[in-house]
Amino acid sequence: MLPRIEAYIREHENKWPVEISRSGRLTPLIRFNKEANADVEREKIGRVILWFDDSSTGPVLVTKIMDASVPLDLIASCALRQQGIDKMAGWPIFPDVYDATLISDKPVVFMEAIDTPSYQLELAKAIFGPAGNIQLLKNIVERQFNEIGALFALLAKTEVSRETEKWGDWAFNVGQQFRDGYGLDEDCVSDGSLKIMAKHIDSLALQRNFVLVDHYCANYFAGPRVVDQMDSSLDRRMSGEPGLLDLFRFIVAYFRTSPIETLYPDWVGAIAASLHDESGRSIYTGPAMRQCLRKLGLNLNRVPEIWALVMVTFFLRAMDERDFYRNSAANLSHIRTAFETSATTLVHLQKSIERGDYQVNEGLGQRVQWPRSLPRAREYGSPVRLKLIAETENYNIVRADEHHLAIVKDLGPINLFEERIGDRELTPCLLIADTLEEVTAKAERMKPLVQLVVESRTYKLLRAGQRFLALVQRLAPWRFFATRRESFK
Amino acid sequence: MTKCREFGGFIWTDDEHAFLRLARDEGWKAALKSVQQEDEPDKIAEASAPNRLGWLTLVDVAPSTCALDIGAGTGGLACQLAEICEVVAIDTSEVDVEFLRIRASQERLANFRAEVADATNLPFEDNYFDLVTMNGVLEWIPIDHPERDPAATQLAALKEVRRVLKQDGRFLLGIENRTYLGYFLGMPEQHVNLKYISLLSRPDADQLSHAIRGVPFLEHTYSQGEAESLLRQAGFERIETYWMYPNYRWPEYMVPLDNRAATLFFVNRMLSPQDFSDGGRLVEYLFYSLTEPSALGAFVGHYGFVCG
Repeated sequence: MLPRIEAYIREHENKWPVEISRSGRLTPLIRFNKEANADVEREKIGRVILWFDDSSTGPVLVTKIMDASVPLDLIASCALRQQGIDKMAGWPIFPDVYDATLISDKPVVFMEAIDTPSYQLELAKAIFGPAGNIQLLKNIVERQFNEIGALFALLAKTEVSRETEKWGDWAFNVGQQFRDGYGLDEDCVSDGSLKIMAKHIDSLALQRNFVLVDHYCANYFAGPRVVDQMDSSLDRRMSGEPGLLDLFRFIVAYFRTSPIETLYPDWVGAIAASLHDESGRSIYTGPAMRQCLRKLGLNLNRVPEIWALVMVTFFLRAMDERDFYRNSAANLSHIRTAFETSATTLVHLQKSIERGDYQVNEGLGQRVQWPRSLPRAREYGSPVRLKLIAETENYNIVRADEHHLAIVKDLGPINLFEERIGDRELTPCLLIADTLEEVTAKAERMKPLVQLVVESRTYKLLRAGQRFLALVQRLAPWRFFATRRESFK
Repeated sequence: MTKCREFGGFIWTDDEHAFLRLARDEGWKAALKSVQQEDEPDKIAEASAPNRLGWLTLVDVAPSTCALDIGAGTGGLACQLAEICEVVAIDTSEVDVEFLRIRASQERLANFRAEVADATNLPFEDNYFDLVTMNGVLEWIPIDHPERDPAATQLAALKEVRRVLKQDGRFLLGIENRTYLGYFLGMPEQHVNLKYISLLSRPDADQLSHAIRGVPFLEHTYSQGEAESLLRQAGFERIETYWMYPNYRWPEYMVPLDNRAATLFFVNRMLSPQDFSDGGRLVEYLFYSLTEPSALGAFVGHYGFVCG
């Protein structure tokens, strides 16, 4: 298929606002739909080809091979709509669509190439990458929510209909469709819970807006200018949903998918915590998300209403996925289990939010629950600067870069330089806070009993009350060919 | 001589007759499920994932295309390809071939034929096929000819491919890189599960394999340059090399290694550090550090060669 696509490009490139070197060849970088590695009956999303010529430093053109069921006239109307949105917003939100045609009986779209990483990749690098760290993660989360908030605030001014409507009955039906569609008990999502959700949504008086999200992607927004909207369901969604839900689709996807979901596996709890946490003490996403919601005119004191939007958005998303996996019984069974758990948590939190006694789950991540499988490279990173600045009866108080740490004295001498201290609080051996006063206060309150059980070349094994901790001292050096030597014994 | 169980494309069973009977009576998927081991890739997904045909984006395939899949295994590539064009699938395993026939019958693949055949002596005329595929097979071919030099056996197979391929036909070869970065860091070689073996000289590798496995090291893979050289010796003049990420069996990306901008773009803008397994974290770190694509290409895990 590629030769035909390339031939088409060469034939039509003069009509498009792209600069492609005439000499040399066009080289394809092909991205496949990850879902198509599972046992699904057909590909829902086709392949994306990024074209490079011999002199370019980035892609010059993008080709999308769509599913054969997507008609060309739909693509054309979607492209037109995207242009209209860009014009109304005064800001290029979508990549330009240059052309669409049938090649080997498949619709192929030719689009502008955008040289920006996706939000998901930015977060993954901040969390898992060799240069990743907490401050970078915070900065990226803040920037992304700011961008999305600004984008939606802009789009809200270009609404299709200025009139507000009551969406309570609609929301109630969505909840029932979710419950019935997945065959869940009423214990999981009761009519009572749905009525409360519906009541709150009614109180919000929402407008119909155009729809922005790529619903069939397992990922969330790739970021402005990267996502496009070639979706046959768009007309239905534009007329059938309140526009504000698009922002909540972004939020739900943001927390529900990796890598944020890796940090906060209880994604429902993470959204609830973010709604309540202005300072960022409990969860790094709190301030950024709240600011984003503020930009859209939401009153952050009306948490029950906001939670209702989260719930109905989740139900919609769940039904999207049921539709996506409708031919795959194994996948449906898997997601049913996950959705049942999530729905139960949503309802449980709805109750505590209604009562007004919601408490942030400290176990959620007073500091980020950094992924267990840290890259070893991180431990080769730049050493943490430590300075002993105070002490209490049982603890040494140390400043480590941006953190203040209280390290129990019973640990004895520890080489801290090869461990990325500050990522995890290891009560009672290692306490963390932002200020000297806070960590000292914590240390004063603790009476740890820490025993050194055994010490090896790489670890100190400690007992602290009922818990056992292994505290790495240093990494073992790599030993190449050790296997070879051993195997010849 | 046993093959590494990591490769789901093979059928492992103590009772081949029972396995085939199950395939006939209850369906090929049921049979694969019955031999699925916990530590193996999902055999059904391996045999049916649409991305197995990802390769075909690179070539023109029409209903009139005549294709040969060498080492067809459970038919992941061949049976899906047969929905588009005429396919001949060969394997040296009689069980695999019979399984393929059962599957083709159940899927009503009219354009499909499976045969037991040796890749070094293909029973087809010259210039017969428009497309030949060999995905994760070349390294196993020497096992069927333990008396011969592995490289010579593999070259013989590649020459056979060139012979049966039409002049304007395309050959798609998927194979691991023997100098994959992970191997330098102690990851076991994927075919024989021994550390460092593919990095050693062939005599040393043989010695190590004898010492640990009791058999010579026949499962030869190649670096990019070595593979391209072998393909040229076999008569292929036009060779395009792709980094098949994360592997050629379940590809998510095909990255052209001969285009610097594309390779850098992939590493910086598309490759997520989260995709790497725990064992490969340092690999990921080093990949980000390698800014020179020619260096990067030497260390990737899987190659895809498009030859003509």
